[in-house]
Parts: sequence; C-alpha cells; structure tokens
Amino acid sequence: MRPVITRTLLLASVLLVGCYANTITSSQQIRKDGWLASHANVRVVRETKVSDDLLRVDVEVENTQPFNSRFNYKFEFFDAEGRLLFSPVSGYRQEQVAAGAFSTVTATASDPRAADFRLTLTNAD
Amino acid sequence: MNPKPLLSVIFSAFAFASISGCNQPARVVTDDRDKIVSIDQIDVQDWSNAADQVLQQLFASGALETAPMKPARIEVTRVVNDTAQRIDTDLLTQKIKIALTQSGKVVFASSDTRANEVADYRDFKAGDDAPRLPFFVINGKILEIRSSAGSTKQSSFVFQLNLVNTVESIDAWSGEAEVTKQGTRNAKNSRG
Repeated sequence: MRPVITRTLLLASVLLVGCYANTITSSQQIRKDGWLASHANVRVVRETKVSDDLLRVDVEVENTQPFNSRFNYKFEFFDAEGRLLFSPVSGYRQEQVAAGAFSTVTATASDPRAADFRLTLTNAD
Repeated sequence: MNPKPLLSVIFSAFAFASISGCNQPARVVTDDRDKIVSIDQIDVQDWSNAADQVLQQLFASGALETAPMKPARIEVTRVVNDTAQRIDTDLLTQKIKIALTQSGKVVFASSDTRANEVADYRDFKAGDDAPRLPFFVINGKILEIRSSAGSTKQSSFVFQLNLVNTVESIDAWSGEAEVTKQGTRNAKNSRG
C-alpha cells in the first residue's frame, strides 16, 4: 500500500511542478511559460552572422490555436564562457500572431563576443 | 441581538480591504512586462524597442562595413522631434551609441568641448593640422500619428534614422522603426 501512496504523491508533485516551472523545449535556448508550451510551437531557429561578426537569431513561432494570440519575448546573449552580455536594447517585446499562423522574431547581438542566446516566450493575452 | 455592531465591523473590514486593494506600495520595476503602457506617449520600454529595431536593420545592411578605416569615426548630428511631446532624443541616440560602440565597428566623436580643445592642442604640438572629420554622421526624426475609433485611441510613433557617408554625402543606410499602441486607457503592465 505504502509504495502506491509514495508513487502517487511523487507523480502529483511532478505534475504540479510542471505547471509552474518554465518548460524548456527541445532547444535548451528557448524557454516558454506553461501556457505557451501548449499554445505555441517554435518552428525554425536560424543562427547567422551579420555585419561580419555579430550573431543574429531568427525564430519562427507558430500559433497552434484557432484564435489570434499575443506573446512577450526576450532575447539574451551570452559569450563563449556563458557570461550574460549587457545590451542597452534588451527587454521584452510583444508580438501578435494570427490563428494558425507564424511570426518570426529576431535579435542581433551588438557585441561580437556573443556566442549563444536564450529566448524567453511568455503569454501576453 | 443588535445587528448594528456586526454590520459596522463588516463594513469597516470591507472598506479596509478596498482601500488596501487600491493602494500599491512603490517598488522598483525591472521587468519590461510590468512597466506602464501609455497610449499617447513614448514609454521607457518603447525607446529600447525602437533602438533595437533600427540597430537590427543597420547591422543587417552591412553599411558600417563600407568605411575604409575600422573603427570608423561617427557623429550624431540631429534627431528632430516632430511629436506633440517634449522629449529628449538622447533616449534613443544614447542606446544606439552604446550598441554601436559595443560592436567595435565605429567610434563616436566626443561632443565635450574641453576634450576637443585638448585634442586640438595635442595635434598642434605634434604639427598635425588635419581636422578630425567623421566618416559617418547619424541624423533622424521622430514622428507621431494619432487616430481614434469610438473610445479606442491609437498612437503610432515612427523613428527614422539615416547613416550618412560624409565623403560622398549620400545616405549609406536609412532605417525606420514603429511603435503603435492602442486602447481605451493606459495599462499598468503588458502581461495581459
């Protein structure tokens, strides 16, 4: 009897934590909150260099719901050692995406040391 | 049993709850999603949004690479405020200046009078009389378009910037960013 209760409690706690914690998608660089994890889909991620040595990231976000949606997003850039790079223009932006459509969000690091990025997506409706 | 004291206690509790619900103690806001969204004015987060948009366009254009010397000397000349608001355009240009300097592609000419005097004196002592001329200058304009439908108001702010090649006196790049806000009243945040 006791193992059943333990397993049930463990499963319940895992489910509860899952509801509140940020969900990390297949790409470790993209974080979505609980609502977006089930309402939006990240389709393509492109990493290119512009202006010779600046990292540019393009991410296509698909609205998987049958209604228009809005989300907030924020890009952060990190150097090769994982240190967060300061940017005077970093912050949350808001994007609208029609039902079943997708929207491309982009960011360009102003620091040539940028080697990695993190994108956070949260619900704005 | 007299219901009056009980009613008075309930009323007082309700009034207290209402008052404390309306009053919000001051706090430091670091998350953009918690910043006030005004319909008819440029908010602090809008400056960052506009600067980000134009910088992405500028970096993608490759215009900064056209300078023969790197980092290229650059100067911000004038950003015209063509809105109904009294705004300090440094809120836009300083962000652009920081990001461009960070990129290592340009160096900004100082506008500090004393620094320029000292540099001129050093040049004089070294026998160098060539003036320090910027290869690029940045100029621009901020415009506002307002409209309404019923009780819904809309404000659009357009940020236009040009990067001028001073050798040929041509616009090496032109960019534009737009921030449009709509609603019946200002919002405490943009979390929805």
